[in-house]
Parts: sequence; structure tokens; C-alpha cells
Amino acid sequence: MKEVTTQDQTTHESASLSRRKFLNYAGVIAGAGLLIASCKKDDVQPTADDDTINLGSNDTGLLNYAYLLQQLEAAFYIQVLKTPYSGMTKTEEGIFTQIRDHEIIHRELLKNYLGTDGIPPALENDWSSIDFSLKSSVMAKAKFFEEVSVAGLNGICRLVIAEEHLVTLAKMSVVDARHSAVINDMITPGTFAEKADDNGMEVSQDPQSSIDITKKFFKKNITGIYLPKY
Amino acid sequence: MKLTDILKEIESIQPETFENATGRRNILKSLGMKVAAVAVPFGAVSLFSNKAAAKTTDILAEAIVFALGISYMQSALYTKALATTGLIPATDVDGFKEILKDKNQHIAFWVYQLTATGNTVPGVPTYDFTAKNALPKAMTDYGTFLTLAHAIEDTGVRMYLTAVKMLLSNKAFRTDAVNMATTNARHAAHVRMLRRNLGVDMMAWVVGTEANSIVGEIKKAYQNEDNTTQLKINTVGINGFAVSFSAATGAFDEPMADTDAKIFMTPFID
Repeated sequence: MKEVTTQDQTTHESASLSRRKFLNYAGVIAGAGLLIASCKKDDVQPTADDDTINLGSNDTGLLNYAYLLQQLEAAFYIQVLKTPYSGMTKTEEGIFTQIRDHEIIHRELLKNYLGTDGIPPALENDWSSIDFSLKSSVMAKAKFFEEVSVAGLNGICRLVIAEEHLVTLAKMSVVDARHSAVINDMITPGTFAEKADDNGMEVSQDPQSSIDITKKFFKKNITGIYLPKY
Repeated sequence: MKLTDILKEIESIQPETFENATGRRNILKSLGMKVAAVAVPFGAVSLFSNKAAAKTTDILAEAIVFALGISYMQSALYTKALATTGLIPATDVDGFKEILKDKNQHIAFWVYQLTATGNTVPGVPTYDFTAKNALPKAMTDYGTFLTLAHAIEDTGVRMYLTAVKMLLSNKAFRTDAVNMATTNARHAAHVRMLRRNLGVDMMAWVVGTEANSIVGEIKKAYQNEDNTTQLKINTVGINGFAVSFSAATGAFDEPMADTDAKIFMTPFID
């Protein structure tokens, strides 16, 4: 994958404010196509042990978080279709099937792109809060996962540095937003854009708080402490 | 402005300043984002006579003007549709009111930002949604209207993706554009499902170049939407999964280039 090497902000809490400011706007430099920071020693590589998945730092870490979100969504819809709730209509099945395929593509794309920098594939999920036999439980979680994914991807878009990462994640997020709108309308017609704020904008979410609400769906602990911060 | 000067300016910016709209205005000013007052038809991007020299800063205003081009068109479409008696069934009116509200908020936000940075706010064109009679029933037949509406919505998603790319250098604005892109995507999904409810075999996402488009004027919204290569990786049947061409194209919306945006929008402008 494209290597983006800037200092990780978290590991440099004591860094001077001016440098943090500078890093906040490092995108300006990337946009100008100039290599201004190459500090590989400060990169934190993603790691996985028996207990914890560490997403890593920089764009790699952010893409790993996107990968985690897409793993979660793909695994969810695979399970929904494997153990369909009673009374699933043909239309519902068709919608879930296409959404599942999109999420698999998102997941596999990030897997291939990240290569050896990626977190492990097929992380085991904790579905204990979901009753797959119950339509209401499945729909509620589909709504939740899609909203979390759109807000999370948009938050990642704020932080990534490389243009191709930004564009690809945004292209992915708008399709997750389409999913979210459909799921919302299936639950309560007319709620397709209920989360838009007073500027007609999605409310994006920073990775730290996004991870806090998604990690309970994984058996291993997930940490994003080295990710860039808002 | 020289790069070193930009870096100096960046050094002087408080990160928290960037979190609010007023702060962004000042930052743009501090980055020297002053754009010549030129009457700009939307989509047009020649804001500077010397583009090369101004490239690092004028792209922000270009992106905003570009995004406004489709937001204006969307707002005009729904304003007219909601005022046309008998066009939108009573059951669907609230949805379109919600969509129009969001569009007008997008416009208000960008107009504020342009004004605050001393840029010219582009004028709102007069629209002919029949595209010079290529779509004679656009504002009288609900099915035709929905077809046009989803084409304009899908174009909105695509143009906002382009705006996101153009706003790369500005974290706050690029996030605003992403957050509007996903709202546009929600609108697009809703409108497409309304059309599906009329018996058209389509989903909330764009498949290929949209076989359900009815005339050339609408098909133009979908040029280059059938891309199946992302990050230089082919997504059809990726890693042996049974994911089709349709799924591969549906899984991503594609940014719409300036030239394609003009090709789509021009027939609808009087």
C-alpha cells in the first residue's frame, strides 16, 4: 500500500503545540505532492496477539479501522442470510444479499490493499446482543451498524492524508449511506436522513469514540490508541 | 504564495479555530484565499487567470462553487416539484420536504463560506427540467420526475465526491463535503426506492451505468459509474468471492469529473 509516514500524534503528547498544529495540516503538504515528513521510526505497526488487536498508526491504522468496520458489517449480513429470521420477505432477502456483497467487496478490497499491514482477516465476532431469529433485532442492528459505519468512515476521511485513501473511503461511505437510508426506511418510512444535522450534514464520528461502540462486537479487544486524533 | 509561506501560516493557526465556521473563514483569509470576483457559471473553474500560481489556494473555492452547482439544481427541482399540484403523491410529500430542507441547508452553508471569504457567490441559473423537451413529462408524470430526481441525486453524490477530493488540503471543509455527500446518498437511496415502488427493477445503489435510465439526458449522469477497479485492484469476484459486476459497481459511487458534470447539467439550464 501507499506508505504515509508522519509522526503519530498520540505517541508525542509532549510534542510542542506548534508541531501538532503543523501535523494537523499536513494534508496541505500531501496535497502539494511534496514529501515533507519521513519519520518511519515513529510509525506504530498494527499488531495482534491472543487478547488485543492494535490497529496501528497513520493512514495504515485508519484504513485498518475502516477494514474492521467492513469486517463487522460483512460478517453481520453473512449471518443474517445464513440464519434468516422467520418471515423474511423476498425483497428483504434481496436487499440484504446485495448489501452483504457490497460489504464483502469493501472488506476484501481493504484486505488486499493493506496486505501485510492489515489486521487479521475474519476476526471472531461477539453476536451475544443480537437475536438473529428476530426481525426486530436484526433490523435494529443493521440500522446501528450502517450508521456507525457511515459516521466512522466520514470521521476517518477527516484524518487520512493520502488522496487515494480519502477518495476511496468516501466512495465507500456514500454506499454505506445508501444502505443506511434503505434500512431506516424499512424500519420507519421517511427516516432515511434522520441523522442529518442543521447543516444537512451527516454527523461524523472520531475513531476513538467510534471504536468504543464497535469493539463489543468482537471477541478480542480492539485498540486504536495510536490512531491520529481529531 | 510560496510553500514556505503557507507553512508559516499553518504554524500560526490554532487547531481549535478550525472547528468552527468563523475560524475557517479566517484561516482561508490567512492562506491568501482571495478569489477574483468573476461571474462564475457553476461547474466552471477558471477563477484565476493565472491558475498555476494560485493552485494551492483557489481550489477550495473552486470545489465549493462546483458543489453548489448541483445543490442549486437539486433545490430548484424539489421547490418546483412541491409547488406543482398533483405531481408528488401525498404519501411521498414529506420525504421530498425533508430532502429539500437538507439541500437548502447545504446551499446556505456554502454561500456563507464563500461570502465570508470574500468570494463571489455564483448566481442561481434558471432551469428547464424538461431538458428542452427531451423529457416533456418531467414535471407532470411522477415516474418521469422520479427518474430525473434520482439521476440528479446520484449526480449530487458523485459531484460531492469530486468536491471532497478537491478539498483534500482542508480537513474541515473536506469533512463537511463528505458529510454532505453521504446525506446526498441517503436522498438518492430514498428517491430510487420510491421509483422501485412503482415497479421498476432497481435498488438504492447505482449498478453499472444504470440500465433503467430512459433517455440520453439522464444516462449522462452515469458516465463512468461502472468502474470495477479500486486502488488498482479489480473488485469483480475479488479473492474468489461470488461478487458480481453489479455488486462491484454498486459497492462504490464514482466521483464525477467537471466535464461530465457539465455534460449532464447543461441541457437542464435555460
